[in-house]
Amino acid sequence: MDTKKDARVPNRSSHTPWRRIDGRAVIVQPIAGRVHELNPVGTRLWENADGKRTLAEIAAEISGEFATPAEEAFGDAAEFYSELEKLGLIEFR
Amino acid sequence: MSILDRLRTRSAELLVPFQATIELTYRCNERCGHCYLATYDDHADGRVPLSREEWKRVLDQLAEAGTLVLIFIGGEAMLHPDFWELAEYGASRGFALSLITNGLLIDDRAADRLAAMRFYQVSISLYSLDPAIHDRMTRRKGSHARTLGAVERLRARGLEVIVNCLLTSANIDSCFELEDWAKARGVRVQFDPMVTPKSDSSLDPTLLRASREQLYRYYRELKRRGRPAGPAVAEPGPGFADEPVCNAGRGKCAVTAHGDLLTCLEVREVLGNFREAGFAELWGSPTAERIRGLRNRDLAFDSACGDGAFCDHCPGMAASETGDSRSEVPFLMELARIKRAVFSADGFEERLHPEERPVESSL
Repeated sequence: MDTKKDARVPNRSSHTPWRRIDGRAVIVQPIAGRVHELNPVGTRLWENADGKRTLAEIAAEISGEFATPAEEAFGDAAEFYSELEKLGLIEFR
Repeated sequence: MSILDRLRTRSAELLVPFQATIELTYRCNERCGHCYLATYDDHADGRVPLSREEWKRVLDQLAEAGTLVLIFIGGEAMLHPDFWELAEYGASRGFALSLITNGLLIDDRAADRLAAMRFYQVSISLYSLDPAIHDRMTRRKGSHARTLGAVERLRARGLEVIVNCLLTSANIDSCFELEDWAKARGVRVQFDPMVTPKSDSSLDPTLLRASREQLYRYYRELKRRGRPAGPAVAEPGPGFADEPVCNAGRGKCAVTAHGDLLTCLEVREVLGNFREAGFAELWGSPTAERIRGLRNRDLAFDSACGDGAFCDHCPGMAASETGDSRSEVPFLMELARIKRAVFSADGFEERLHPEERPVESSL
C-alpha cells in the first residue's frame, strides 16, 4: 500500500462529548452508554481527526512524533480510525 | 472501578472540574417541602440572573478548564427560556450533557429533542409509585402521572434514565415498590435519605427526614436485597487523616443562576462571580484553596472511628446545620451507626446503647 496516497479525511463528530484529561482523550458515547479512554497515540489520532487532514498526512505526523516507522504508523492509524468508524465516532470524508 | 469513576478520582487529584452543575434557574413548577432552594425567584434580593450570552461565556470557560460532564439543574432547568439553546451550545462545546428534572415538561416533543441532543443521562425526581404520596411531596396535583410519563418517554427513546428518590418520612416505607417498578423497566433508582437544609441554611427540610426506625427498616431491606449501604467507601487506612474530606472544589464545581461559582452544590460559600472574574481566578482563589484543603484530620470529631466506612461527612451540610463545616452532623452520624449496625458483621448492633437500637414496629 502506498501510504502517501490515502486521501481519506477522518472527521470526528462535532457533538461527541470528549475532553483531554491528564494527557488522554476521554470520549463519551451517550446513547450507547460507553466511555472510551485513549492512550497517548490514540489521543493524538483522535485530536487530528479534525476533518482537515488526510489519513496519510496524520500518519506521517504520528510517525515523526512517536518515532515509529512510516509503514507501521500508517497501518496503526488506518486500523484505529476503522475501529472508530465502526463505533460511529468518526466518518471519512 | 469504571472509567468514569477513575477519571473522577484523577480529575480531583489534578483539580480539574470534571463535573460542573449549573443552577440554570430557581423557577420551579413543583413546591417540594424538602427542596434545598431558599427561593423560586431568580430576581430575589434584587439580583439579576445570567443572560444567555453570559451563560455561554461560562460554558466556554468550563470547557477550557476541562469539564466533561455538564449537569443542568434548577429549580426546574427546563423552565429557563434558553434551556434548549444552552443545551445545544453545551453539546457543541463537547460536554456530556446531563439533566436533573421533575419531568413535568417532558412531552413527546421534548423527549425527542433530548434524545436528538444525545443527553448522556436524565435524572428524574420520582418519590413513590403511589400518586398520593408523590403529589403530596411535590405539592402539585397530577405531577405523579406526568413524571411517570416522562420516564417512559425517555426510556422509549433509549436515553439513560435514573430515578432520583429522596427518602423522607413520607415515602421511605414504600420506596422498594418504586424500585421494583423501575427495575422492570431497566431504570436505575437512586435512593437518598440525606435531606439537606436549604441554601440559606434554613433547617425546615430536615424536619421531614425519615425516623430512626424507618431508616433501620430501609437498610435491612436493602441488605436483604443484596445491595450495599451506599457507594463503596474504604475502611480508613493509614493515610486517612491527610486525605481530603470530599471532592468539593477538586473534581467538581457548581454555578448559580446569578453566576456565582461554588465548589459544590451543597457548599454554598461563594468563590466569586463570573461577572467579576474568570474561572481560573475564582478556582484559584484563597476561598477555594481553603475549602479544598479540608482534610480528615481537620474535622472536629473522630471520623476514623468504627463507623468510618459508613460515614459520609458533608462540609456543606455541616456548615448549614452547625455553623462549622468541620463539625459532626448528628443526622449523618446516626446514619453511619445505623448502616454499621445493619451491614457490618462485628456485632455492633448489640453494643449500641438501648436508646440507639431500633424500635421494631408491629405494623
